[in-house]
Amino acid sequence: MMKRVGPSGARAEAAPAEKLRVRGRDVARETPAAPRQAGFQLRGSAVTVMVLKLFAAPDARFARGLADQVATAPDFFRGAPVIIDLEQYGADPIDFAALGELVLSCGLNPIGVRHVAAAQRDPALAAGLALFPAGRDTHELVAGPATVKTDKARTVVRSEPVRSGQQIYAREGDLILLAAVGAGAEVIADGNIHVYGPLRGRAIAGAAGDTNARIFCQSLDAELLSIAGYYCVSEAIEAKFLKQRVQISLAGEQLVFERLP
Amino acid sequence: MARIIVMTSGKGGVGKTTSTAALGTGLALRGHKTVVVDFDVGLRNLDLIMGCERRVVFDFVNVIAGEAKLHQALIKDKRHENLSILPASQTRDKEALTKEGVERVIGQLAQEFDYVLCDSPAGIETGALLAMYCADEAVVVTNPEVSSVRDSDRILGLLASRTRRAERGEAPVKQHLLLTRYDQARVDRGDMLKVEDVLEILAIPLLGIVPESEAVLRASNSGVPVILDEKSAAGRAYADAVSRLLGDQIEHRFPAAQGKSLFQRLFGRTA
Repeated sequence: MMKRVGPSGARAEAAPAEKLRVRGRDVARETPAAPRQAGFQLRGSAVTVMVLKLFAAPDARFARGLADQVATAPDFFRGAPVIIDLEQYGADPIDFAALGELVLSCGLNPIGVRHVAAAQRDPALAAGLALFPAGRDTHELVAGPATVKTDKARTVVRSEPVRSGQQIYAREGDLILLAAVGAGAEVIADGNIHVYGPLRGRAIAGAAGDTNARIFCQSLDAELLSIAGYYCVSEAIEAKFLKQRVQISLAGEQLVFERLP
Repeated sequence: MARIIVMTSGKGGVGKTTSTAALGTGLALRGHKTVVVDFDVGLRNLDLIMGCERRVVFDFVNVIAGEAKLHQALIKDKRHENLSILPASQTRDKEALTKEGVERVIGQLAQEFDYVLCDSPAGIETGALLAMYCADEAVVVTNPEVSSVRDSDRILGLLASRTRRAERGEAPVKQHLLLTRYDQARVDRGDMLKVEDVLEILAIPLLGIVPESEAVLRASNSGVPVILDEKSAAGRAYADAVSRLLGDQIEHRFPAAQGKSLFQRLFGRTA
């Protein structure tokens, strides 16, 4: 009775989930589990690091200014790793050893440089500074994907009935419905669906492939139920669950019905 | 301020036009200046039920196209001076109506009349959407059977999303349920849905229950709105519905053989 489908149209794509899994396998291949026995594990990790942008050759004013800034929030700055960015400074020769000493004396811990010209590479390495690839500034990173995500991940709450022919979609979030879902109506969520009125229409949870999504309802009379693409039509619902308070979850490829306490 | 009311259902043949004629006449009888507007372009019927089909010269489409003035197209009812009819065109189709034109004409009517009743065509296409577009209130005409109830549910969804009030984010269109062609014997046999079942599914206030009646067909054929047939149960039911539309709290009358318990249960939930 249950089949794997992409329910009605392009909304409930199974594709993102597939892609995610493929990507997961690739990562696993890059970092084999073997070194665990050798007492270490080498893994990639993204860390936020402060960047010190240098505009001109450092002088006494530079040292004072930097020390003052560190003094404004000593707990935050003291000993913090910092990358020195030479994008604005340019390709002029620079005494990396002295610069490193200076930054260290101000209370920061210089770990490397970025945006270095070809002629600056060897002196930088000789001074014990690693070469970092040119990256984006932190605030760009934060403003990009992070804020978009919080915008999308909101739970959708609706108190009016969902009428026949209407479709409600909670993208990347849960859907909470406080009134009836009429026959011929369709309620869809990437997360869970909660229905506090009678559920007579179609309910599609985990529409983007989340197999942990569930459907909760106070009176089950649905035309179709689907979680992560596995669905069941009303004919297939056992009579003992009809008009009952029920939660529906996914176990393997089976929709599991459970009466709520 | 005029009340603009759309008479709608989604499904055809449930009694929209009969109900428009009855409620329109009823409102006029109570002294309110009322106009009934036929939106069923191409299938003009309201003029027949109102008994004024021989007096149609210009119509709604002519007014929208600027080929006639509103007053040339409005027909004054011979029985009630408070009542007017704006007939549909029989030779055109729904595409002849435009949103701007409908808004303009309904706006003009709203300045002159207390009640503007828009008789919607069946379906959910242009004609039906334009009939509901300007509405402040909706009378959803429903028969006690599953397909009619489902279509009404669909229409309620459209009222919440495709009307001018919805577009402007104003207070939603006020909804009333008018249950027509109700046959107690068939309900008792289980052939028809119970009033309670319909109310449970649609969840909107009940304006009235109009029993299936021979008087309705008789009235339609003779061009006299059934509300004028005071002896018929249907006529009385429409008169009650008019009272409720005007804000009176009256109990729902039921056709014969009605248990008192159901009566009270029902009144309790809709009062």
